[in-house]
Amino acid sequence: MKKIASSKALSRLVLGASLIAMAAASQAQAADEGPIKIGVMAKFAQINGAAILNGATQAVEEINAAGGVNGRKLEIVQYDDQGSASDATLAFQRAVRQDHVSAMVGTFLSEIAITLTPWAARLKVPYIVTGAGADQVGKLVHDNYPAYKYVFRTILPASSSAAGVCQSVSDLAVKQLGYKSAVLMTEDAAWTKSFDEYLKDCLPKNGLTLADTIKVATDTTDFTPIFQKIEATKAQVIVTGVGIIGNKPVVQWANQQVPMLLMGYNAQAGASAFWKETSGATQGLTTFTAASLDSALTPKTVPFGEAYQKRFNTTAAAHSFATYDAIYVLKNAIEKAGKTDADAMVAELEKTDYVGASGRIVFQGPNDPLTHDMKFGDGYVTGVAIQWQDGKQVTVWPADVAKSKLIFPAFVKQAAQ
Amino acid sequence: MLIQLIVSGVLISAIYALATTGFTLLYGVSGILNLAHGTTLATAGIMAWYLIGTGHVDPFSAIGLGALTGMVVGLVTYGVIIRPLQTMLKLSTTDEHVFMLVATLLWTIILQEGLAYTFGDVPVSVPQLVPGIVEIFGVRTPISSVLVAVFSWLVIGLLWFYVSKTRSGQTILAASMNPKALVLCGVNLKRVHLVVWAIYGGLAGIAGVLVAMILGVSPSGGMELTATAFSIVVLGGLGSVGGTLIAANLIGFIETATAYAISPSLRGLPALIILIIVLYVRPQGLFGRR
Repeated sequence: MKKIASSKALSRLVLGASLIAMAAASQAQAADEGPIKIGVMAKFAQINGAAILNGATQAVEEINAAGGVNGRKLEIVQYDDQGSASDATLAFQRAVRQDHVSAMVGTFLSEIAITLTPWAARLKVPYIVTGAGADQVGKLVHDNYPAYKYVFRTILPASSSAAGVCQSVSDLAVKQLGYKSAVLMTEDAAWTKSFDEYLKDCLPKNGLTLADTIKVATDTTDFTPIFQKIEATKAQVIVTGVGIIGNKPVVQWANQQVPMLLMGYNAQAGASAFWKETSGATQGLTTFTAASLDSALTPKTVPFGEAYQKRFNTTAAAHSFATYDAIYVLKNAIEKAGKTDADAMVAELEKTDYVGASGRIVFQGPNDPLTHDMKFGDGYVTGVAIQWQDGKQVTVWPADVAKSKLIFPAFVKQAAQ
Repeated sequence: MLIQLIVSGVLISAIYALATTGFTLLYGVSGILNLAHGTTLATAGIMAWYLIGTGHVDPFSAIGLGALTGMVVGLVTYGVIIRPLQTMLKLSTTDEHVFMLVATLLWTIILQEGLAYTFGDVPVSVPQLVPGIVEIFGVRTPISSVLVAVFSWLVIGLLWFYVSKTRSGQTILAASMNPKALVLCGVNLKRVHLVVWAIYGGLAGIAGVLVAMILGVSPSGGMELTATAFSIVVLGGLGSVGGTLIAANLIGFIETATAYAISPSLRGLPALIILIIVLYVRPQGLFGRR
């Protein structure tokens, strides 16, 4: 009897195990069939969030129209993080565990990207950051490699953006205009730590003395005292590093007619919606950005910019370029890996050498300081500086792709004379 | 620096005064603290920005359209949120206060979400009334900011004239003092409340456009505006229009002095500390009735 009982128990066990194995097999089969799901996360009601979603949409539509990835369509699953790290964490977990996305892209706020980096490692899902610039993300991957190997970034880290700002400001303000002093005004956020450090060192070395460095809270509403303090320094140009604050400093700079140019980096000024939001107050503002509609950095830059503008009725921001390229980088990795297995995709992502719309994308290795961040400089991604001129973004730097010289808003010109 | 501080303080205080007068008037007459106040301002500011963007409206007309928007939002708040709760639930006065706070808080979230969905959750700015700057005692000041300050006080003056010199206005004043006696005199209190909500909305609408002109507004920035208004009216004394005007100047100057002397990042902090001290020693506010 005992033997019969134990053989029944054994057969139940085998049956149970077989069912579990079949379920697991069918799930694995499902993961390799049907559309490949890519999660896109940001706060979509903001300029940068919309830019991320639009960039992804543009790439996915193009890829699907061309036959998809290994015969499978790509499908975007949207996750609105509402600009909150806790919302983002919950959404990220749901994306992987419930919606079974093969990869995540997006995220505008660095604070959120830093929070999600360990989650990408825990859940073992490739995560390409396309909006947040804090160097800390790359450092986390470097310090925790190979556990954090799943995190990549196709937007420039803050120190590379700072290098771009330093080079462009040096060429434009020092060499073209003969300026000698500046004030560095940046927002108090995670990404500006490395940004500030770099510029405090680089700008003076390039002939621009820093008369003052000012940290501005991201919830600042009235910039009058700040601009009056800056004016009192008698500096000739304000070098900014702002992304979260948005357009308030720009509008108040124009309204108060602060008689010095605004240059540097403004994350939101890269999109054409910025002109409308500021009711034109952004005239004369210069910002470093990934690429622009009129700068043919690569053969893909202008066609993407034009198609994007036609499709979304706004120009592509840096985050649009980054997300557009990220989707193509993912596509290439999946095609080469032949499957959506996370480790196989990561292995292929690490070998990326792809000319995208923003430049040639090659990721830094495990021994580089910012692992899985894009290499920056000649031959890789370089960026451009654009200036708002009569409602249009015009490339003014570097010289080989520049379409115009700098212009001055009337109140700056009068002061300069 | 002192002159800069005075000029900036005067300009910002004028907007604060206008932005909070309707808020305190509403509380004085109807006993309702409208937590959707900041979002009402933001709605008017964003509508003005949108209409100017169409190219058919100039900034001066936008102020009028902003007032109209504020009036519509005010009346909808009263008709859809406040009045049904008052008539259906028959709450005690204490319970009603809590219900109204919760209801207006929920209403502000609905308005915020609606605005963010329609226009995007981004700060927007209304173009200046007049471009250019003027030197006031050597302090370079946008002409538009001066006009905004003058206009704010003009509107407050008109409100004072209406409340103290017209029959309709004096009825509102009486409703804030002794509503029961007013009912005994045969006045329709519901009608008085309707008029007050319309005036409130109009004032909030004008203030919203002016704030959008000087500082910019966004859907999610509404709560911040409510918090500022709340601090001012509690400091001045809930329901006291005169107290609110003095508190608006007090807070405006303290904030400006903090921004100049310490750090712009800390501009809101001293006013909040003073507010807590006032709540300890004079809970009815500086000029409130106990």
